[in-house]
Amino acid sequence: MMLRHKCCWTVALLASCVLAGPALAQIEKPTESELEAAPSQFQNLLHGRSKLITQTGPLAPKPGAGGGPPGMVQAVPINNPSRDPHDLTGYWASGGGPGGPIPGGPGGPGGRAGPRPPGVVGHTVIDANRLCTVSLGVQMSGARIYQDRYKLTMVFGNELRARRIYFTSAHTPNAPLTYNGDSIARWDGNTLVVDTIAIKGMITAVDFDLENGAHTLLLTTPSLHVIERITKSADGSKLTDQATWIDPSVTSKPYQTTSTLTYSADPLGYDSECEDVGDMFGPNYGSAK
Amino acid sequence: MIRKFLALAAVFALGAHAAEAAGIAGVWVAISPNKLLTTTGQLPPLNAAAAAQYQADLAAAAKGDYSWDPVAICKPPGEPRTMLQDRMPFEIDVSPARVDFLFQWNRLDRIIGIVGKEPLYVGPYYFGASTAHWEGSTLVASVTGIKENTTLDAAGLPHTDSAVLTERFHTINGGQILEADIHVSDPATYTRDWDTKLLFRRLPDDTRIKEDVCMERKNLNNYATIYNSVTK
Repeated sequence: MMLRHKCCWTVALLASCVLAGPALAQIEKPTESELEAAPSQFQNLLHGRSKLITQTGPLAPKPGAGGGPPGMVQAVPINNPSRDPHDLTGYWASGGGPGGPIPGGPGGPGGRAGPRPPGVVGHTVIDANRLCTVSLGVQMSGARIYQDRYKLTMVFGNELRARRIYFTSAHTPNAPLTYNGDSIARWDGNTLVVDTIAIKGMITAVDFDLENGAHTLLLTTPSLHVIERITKSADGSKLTDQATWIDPSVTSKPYQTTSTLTYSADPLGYDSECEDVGDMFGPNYGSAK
Repeated sequence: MIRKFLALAAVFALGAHAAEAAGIAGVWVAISPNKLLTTTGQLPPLNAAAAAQYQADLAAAAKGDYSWDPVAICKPPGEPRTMLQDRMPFEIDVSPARVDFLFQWNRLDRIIGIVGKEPLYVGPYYFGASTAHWEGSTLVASVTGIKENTTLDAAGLPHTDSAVLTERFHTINGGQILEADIHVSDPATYTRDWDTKLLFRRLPDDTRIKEDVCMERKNLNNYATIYNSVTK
């Protein structure tokens, strides 16, 4: 059964619900009434999330005084993208692109939930977004990519957290579990092959559909192994990330998602204030003056 | 002998110049303490009300009471404090459009837009709204709208959200030291403008920034605790 957590919109987009039981949930686009019903301190964030404005002009009033959405979000004119297939630097906006069906998961072929993964014990799982971290992959949203001889650094457009992928041939021995995992990369011709292990269990978005305002959340576990193949188009304007997700404790067989990103003007982004959103949830939050 | 020395000196000078030309990009860690003083080594010129608050917070901290400090519950430390916080390294990345300060501390990202004009101001935010330009290899950033509940340093130097920081980032010592000259203007808190200087040491380019999750580090999130207990 495809669960719909419409009521959890605020949580879903800003800090995502803690899901109990099923490993998948479909998040719907919020309605205007839901936006209006959101606590005032989150309305601006919600609106800010809904669209990145690209405008210039005089200083706007502060939120709460009739001001507009948050963010210093002037788009910056862009140069032509590099055609060097090994140069991935630049700002890459999400171009959408549907993810593949998730075998063994609700809604996927077979229509039957896979084995209950670890982490669901007691109907409690941790959502990485509750800790203000991003999920894996460039498919989540737009990303600015920096590149040097040692690594790729991906700075995501929403949560403003960085993921690093190192150009090395071997994983870190006994790599500690982290939210982004231990990512290493090598070039296979003009395709960057990224191998990621040692990922903390969490709920991660595997299919972020900006156009329809929905994404699919999948519970991942520390046994997850992700292999990404990132390829730049010949004219340098597109980046395709084909990710294979292997986690036998969650799905009956590996599945793939494909995202296409477009070289774009850098919207610069804004201070996400994820920590303040956490005030809604964390039992130890909320005491800041 | 002298010729060899001059040749070596020239090579060193060229190397130093090349390193500084490479600019502020890289991985850095604070040398300066997380307690700001003016460039003359004095406590910044707090006005009476701000000084009273500062002393009260210091007294509370001495008793182990950090309730005045949102960082204690993992709120972003703000600017410039984040660069100094817990001496965790940070990575600076430079692009034509922006400069990212990617902190290990709770994986925070401060974005400085290189836009040549004022940002669309909204906020206040933990890092404020920054806009910058380059003067040669020096990044000159203007920061406004920093949240009042942040402090300029770990000792609790206060500011209002009307404070304006002007930061000049450049490298010295052959690119091995990052120097941040910071001018603070906040008439509501200080009796006059003041300046401070912060120093940072360059770390090797292949330094790996660790994934720091403050709430886990401080054991502030019950869900993290529950998760860890059921998966171990």
